[in-house]
Amino acid sequence: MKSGDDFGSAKLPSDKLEANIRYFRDIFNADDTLVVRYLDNTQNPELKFCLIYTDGMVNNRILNQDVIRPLLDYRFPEEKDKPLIDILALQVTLSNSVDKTDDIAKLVQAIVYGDTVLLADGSDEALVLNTKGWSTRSITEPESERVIKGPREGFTESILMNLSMLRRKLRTPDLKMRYRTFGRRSQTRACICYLDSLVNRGVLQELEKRLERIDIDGTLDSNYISEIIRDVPYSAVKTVGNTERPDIVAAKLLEGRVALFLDGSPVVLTVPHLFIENFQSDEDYYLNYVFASVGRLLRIFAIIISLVLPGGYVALVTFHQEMLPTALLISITAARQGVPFPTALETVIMLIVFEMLRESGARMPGIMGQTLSIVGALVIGEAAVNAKIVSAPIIIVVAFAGITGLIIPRLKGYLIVHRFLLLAFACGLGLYGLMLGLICMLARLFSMQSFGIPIMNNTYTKSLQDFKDIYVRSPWGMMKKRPRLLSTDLYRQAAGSKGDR
Amino acid sequence: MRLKRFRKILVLLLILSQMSALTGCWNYHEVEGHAIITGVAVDKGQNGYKYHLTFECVKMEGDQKSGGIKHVLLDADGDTLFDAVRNTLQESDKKLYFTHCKIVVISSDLAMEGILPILDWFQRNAEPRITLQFLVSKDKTAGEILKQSPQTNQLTAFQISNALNGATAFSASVDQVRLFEVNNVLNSQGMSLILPGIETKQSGDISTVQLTGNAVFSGDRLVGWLDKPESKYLMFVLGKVNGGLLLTGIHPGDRSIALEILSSKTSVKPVVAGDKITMKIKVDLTAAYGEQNTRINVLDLYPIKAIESSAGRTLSDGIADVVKMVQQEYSSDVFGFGNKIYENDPQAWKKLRSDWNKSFKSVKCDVSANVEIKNTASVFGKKGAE
Repeated sequence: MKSGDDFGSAKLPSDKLEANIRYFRDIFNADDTLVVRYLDNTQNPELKFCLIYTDGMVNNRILNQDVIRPLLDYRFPEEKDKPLIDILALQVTLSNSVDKTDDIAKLVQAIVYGDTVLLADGSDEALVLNTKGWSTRSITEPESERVIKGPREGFTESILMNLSMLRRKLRTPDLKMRYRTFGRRSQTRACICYLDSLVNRGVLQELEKRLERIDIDGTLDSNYISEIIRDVPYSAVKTVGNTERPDIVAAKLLEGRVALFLDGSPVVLTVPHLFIENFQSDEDYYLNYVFASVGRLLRIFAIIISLVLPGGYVALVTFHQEMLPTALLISITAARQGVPFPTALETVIMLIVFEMLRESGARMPGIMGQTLSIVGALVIGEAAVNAKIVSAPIIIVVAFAGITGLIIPRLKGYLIVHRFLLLAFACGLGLYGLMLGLICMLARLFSMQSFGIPIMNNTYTKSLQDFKDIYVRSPWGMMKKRPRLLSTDLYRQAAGSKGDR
Repeated sequence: MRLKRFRKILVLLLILSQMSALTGCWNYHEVEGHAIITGVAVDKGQNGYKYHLTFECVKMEGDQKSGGIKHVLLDADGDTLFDAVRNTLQESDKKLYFTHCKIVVISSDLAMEGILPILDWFQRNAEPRITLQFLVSKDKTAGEILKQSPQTNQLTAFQISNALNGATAFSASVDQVRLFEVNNVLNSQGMSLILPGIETKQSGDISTVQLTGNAVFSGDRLVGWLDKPESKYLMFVLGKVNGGLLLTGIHPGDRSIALEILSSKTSVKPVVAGDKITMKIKVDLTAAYGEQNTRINVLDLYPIKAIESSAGRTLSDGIADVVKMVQQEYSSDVFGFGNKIYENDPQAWKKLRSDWNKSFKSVKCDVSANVEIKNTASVFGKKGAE
């Protein structure tokens, strides 16, 4: 892949101002947003400077007051004891970050990222001044991860703002933040964050190894990276977690995980990602543990229902009628009188219809929602049953499976695929097929790893301590240890304190 | 490499295809393609056939909102049961489906010839459950039992089945006998089969069905009937009473006090001394004072102990009577006395086994009943008659 801004180790061509400016103009030809501003010092008109920046990316007020004004007004000493460029850096410009360099690649990056390059006549080095200033979205609560109780802030598209949100939660030098750049053409900034004393080195090294391999022209969202570094690229199971909430990222780091921020995306990746994390919500930790545990059990139960219900219904109704209670069998038979399609086909059709309704609900503008609910509920639910096109139990089964599936939106891809898979097994082999399908699914899950950690880690452990944050959420006083394998330092609370088991 | 993978997939497919043949119920069939049978009545055949079968099946009608099920009858002749079942296909477009069948009613003339041939198909076929409840029709045919229109349920078979399920808890004169129990009794020693009886009943314009006493079998043949009161004491001997009423009174023959049975425990102990066999039957009964159908307040005039002892007497007399009656009339060991001897004294049973039907007639009974009245409830303002 050849990219347009591959400068290698090119240096500023000369110490002549005009030559350098021409050089930049060549690089940015046909880019009308490039601004080149000439300046002469009022005290000594011999001193000529030039500012190069991209229009719209800089904070104009800072540029005018803190860069241009001092450059115009400063009274330079007659006898120079150091080069002009150093005087500019140390004494003249009012900028919090001044970087002296002659590396063209760096200077070009600075210009496109909202910094200003200051060239001085007679100097073969340039200064990079921090004048970044573009408008960003303000911090709001993420739509996809709302909570009733707990912090309301969510990440934005600005990586610096995001990192500051994390830093405010973990005020320790132990929090390491290491920059990286992805995308040959997009040059997107990313940041790996972890707590140095907790992180699992194996996971960290594995992550860096995989990030090293990424060679892509642009990364517009963290999902680009997520899909490339996943352990099992073609499975519907995610082995890289993602969230838009700083509190979740902080909690994950405290368990020894590694986070990856990407500029331009409010979604932060965390690794390793265990399967049970899909069922954990940050609210679990902010609400009473009894309520939180019930909620988590319900979520797990709902997902199982959502997976198994359509297949189970078909298996019972078309293979094992003797297993249905007589009254239920009679009412299902009554409902099926005169319905033209076989039960299996009916279920498949209605599941597809449900997915279409869900998809159109997600894609269409909000104001049309009413139309969808009327058409969805009335036409498909009521009319189709009355017209004997589908039977009523199918509507109930599909609606129930669909709704329970929406309890965890993160798993929706996994659910859709595996619900149909189990349905296919059940249509072919009845309950036996359903069991076979479930066994295959579980075997697959248990064989998967996320960055060297089994994703079903701790779900089947004998040790009570490891169990305390899996199916239920124990009171904070009892969760002395971090989850096994994730962290090098196992104890999160002093080992001997009250309530230790 | 590719070949290896291909072989792996091939092996997996082979295993999967083999597995599909190993499942019990591998056939896909729609619910509406079957006629759900709820009850079967077995009669003697006409027109040269051996059996005439009547099936009650569920018919869906109307929309679901009106609850729309109705019972519909199919009948067919055949030389065997299976033959008759298959012969229904000449009349019905749907295959009969037996997994939800609840009851089998056998006509009494067929039962007199022996029920063993009938049982085989129900046991051998995969669909009927081993919990099928068996009954004997006291009417001329079994078919007319199913033909009665149900009164308290949508289906006659369900009405009968539910009545049987609750029988021991409320009326205590019959108990359900399921297919596996029929089989167990017929294959065990020193025990005879009883099946609940059923008959049609005319009440006003409506004719319906009711449970009535028990049919007494000797081997697999019907030999006679026990009426309702006799049946109740039979249930006491068998220890199958969970509830129901015991009618008694202060004076012998008086049936004006109803005791509601709370719990009942029976122990039957055989004492074999040479040729003399005595069964010690002991019933422990706790009851509540349910009703006194008198003008005087019995509780004021007599101590509870007196009522208890007179109830005990009623019970022990009743049991002794029914044992004597069965011994004399049917000589069929419906009480399972022989089985009790076998359990307690296998050596003695070895000698008695060959001639048990005769020995059973001379078995003596030593009945003792202990009734305890737990509570009486107080009725406000009830005065004894002056």
